[in-house]
Amino acid sequence: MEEKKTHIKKLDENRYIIEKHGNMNVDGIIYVNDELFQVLGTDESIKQVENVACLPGIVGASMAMPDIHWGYGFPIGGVAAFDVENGVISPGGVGYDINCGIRLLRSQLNAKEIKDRIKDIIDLLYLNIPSGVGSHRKDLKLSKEELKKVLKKGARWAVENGFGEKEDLEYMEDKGEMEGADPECVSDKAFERGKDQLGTVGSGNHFVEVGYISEIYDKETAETFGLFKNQITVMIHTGSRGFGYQVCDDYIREMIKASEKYGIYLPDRQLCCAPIESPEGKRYFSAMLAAANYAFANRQIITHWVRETFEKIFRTGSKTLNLSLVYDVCHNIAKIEKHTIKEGKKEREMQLCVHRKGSTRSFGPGGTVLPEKYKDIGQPVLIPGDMGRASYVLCGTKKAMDETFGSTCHGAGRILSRHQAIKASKGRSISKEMEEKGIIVKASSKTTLVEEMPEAYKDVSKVVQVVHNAGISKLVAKIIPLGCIKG
Amino acid sequence: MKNKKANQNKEALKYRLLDHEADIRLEIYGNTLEELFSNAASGIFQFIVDAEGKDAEKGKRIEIEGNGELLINFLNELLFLWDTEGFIPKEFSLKVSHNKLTGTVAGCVFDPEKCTIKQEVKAVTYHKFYLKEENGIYKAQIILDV
Repeated sequence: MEEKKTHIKKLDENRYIIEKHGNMNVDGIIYVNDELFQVLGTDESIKQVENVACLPGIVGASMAMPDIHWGYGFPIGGVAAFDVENGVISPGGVGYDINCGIRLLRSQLNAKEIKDRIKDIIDLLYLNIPSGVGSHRKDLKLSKEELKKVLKKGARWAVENGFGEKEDLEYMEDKGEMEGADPECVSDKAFERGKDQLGTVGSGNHFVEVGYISEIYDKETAETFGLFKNQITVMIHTGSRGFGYQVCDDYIREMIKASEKYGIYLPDRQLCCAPIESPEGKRYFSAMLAAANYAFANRQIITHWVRETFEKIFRTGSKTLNLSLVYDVCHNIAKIEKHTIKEGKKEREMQLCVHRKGSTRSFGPGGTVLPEKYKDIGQPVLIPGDMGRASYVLCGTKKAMDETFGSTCHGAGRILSRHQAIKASKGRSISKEMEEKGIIVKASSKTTLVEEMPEAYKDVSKVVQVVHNAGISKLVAKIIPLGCIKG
Repeated sequence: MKNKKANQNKEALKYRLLDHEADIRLEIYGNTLEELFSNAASGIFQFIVDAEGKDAEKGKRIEIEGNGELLINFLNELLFLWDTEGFIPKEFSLKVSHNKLTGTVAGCVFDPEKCTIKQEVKAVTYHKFYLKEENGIYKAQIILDV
């Protein structure tokens, strides 16, 4: 253990470097300050950054964000970019919950207006939006042919079928529809698992949360994002559900064979992969995109039910409440992106396959992929914290483009294992404790509530401070939770 | 005497929960491969659902090829059946040979009146997986994505 630590050095106030050694092809860089470095917990997550650095075709460095913690294969909070020409794509680098992500809705309501209604809102959200294992709306069951359309069109399918507005599509990464998704690359089992789970939140750390903007750090950017102090917001956190889990599992089996076929050294079998341009790599990518579109459609459908809930509670139309999208970000995904790479004094543009495993895209100003409204300032970066503390809105930066392939953190990151959390909660009622703090929580499973208790997580405020200080995204606003539904 | 007792306990132990920050890590034991497979399945479902109130009511024929890892494929197949049919495995009659698993799993179907859901397990991963034989006892480690 000591020997391993000798490779780790502090690079600056917000970064530690793991110098290339052993089978690593590049250095590892972890965005943490001294305090968060101390709570890294086990050395497993550091080892995982090193393992990813061993994969072929990795460019720059194997990176991890300050919410880094022990995952399976890649660390959670991991970012790795591979040269499309000679690099690999890894299902384990995306994870089982493909395109798990966050979207933020803003409203015209302010905190005072909803103070007395929050319990009603949470109760009705809980009724309208299926959360928890096995729950789904009986009025949304899709045939295989219809599901294929979802996989191709993503959020657009949802809008075309009456879930939300056309304008919503403008405010999602890739407009909620990733090109190149191929339903033919998806197994029957994934279809079987996916058919009843569209429009469901799922369990674990997934949620729908109502909150209000408690602080604005950057007035101009907040205005562009349509945010103001005391404004009511709704955050939706979910992904591709069983559909994505099945796609990942199917392809991990294929990639274990493929890694052998292409002679790829694997420090951990969960990192199994194939060259991006190989038949196996292409098939996985097309299936992954299908799952990503499923997740976009999922969040879009839930958005529609959130709007219906608010309209019913406030007995008013959608225009008055104006629950509109700030943005929708993916945090478990692989994307083909163009980045400028510095090699000594030279710069060159490269086509990369950027894996973000528990990391958010943080594109700065410019480029062609951002909505017109955000083009000059950068994309909104949405960082949820635990259910009891806070969440943050940040903005992408040029420095992220230069340093992290346009990436930043995705959340708080766990510090207590689920087992430790259960131990720490003995004799306590987490939902009562939350209520005393003024936060109404409704969860379908007691286990979820206990495992998700605030102290199981790092303090998200400390996490976002690191990415802000490091300049890979900048603070815009803080959101305080008022209530949430969980699985 | 103390050692003997410790050994007996270990033999009786089906699985042990090991620490992991984000996911569930289990070490599973069995006197035979078949026993280890059954213990792993009941171990995982302890985390998913409490179905003490229901007995096994139907059987499922299972046939798994060892493409990848037989144990992981078997467990992920059970997660698939849970996800799509609400099937909760309870009793196992398995045969493992030549990297192939065949047999029957008897179980019940989820009934919200009699069962309580605990949490979602997304998948059984390959991270830090091992399956080995030590002093006549089979031992495996699996990490679940939750």
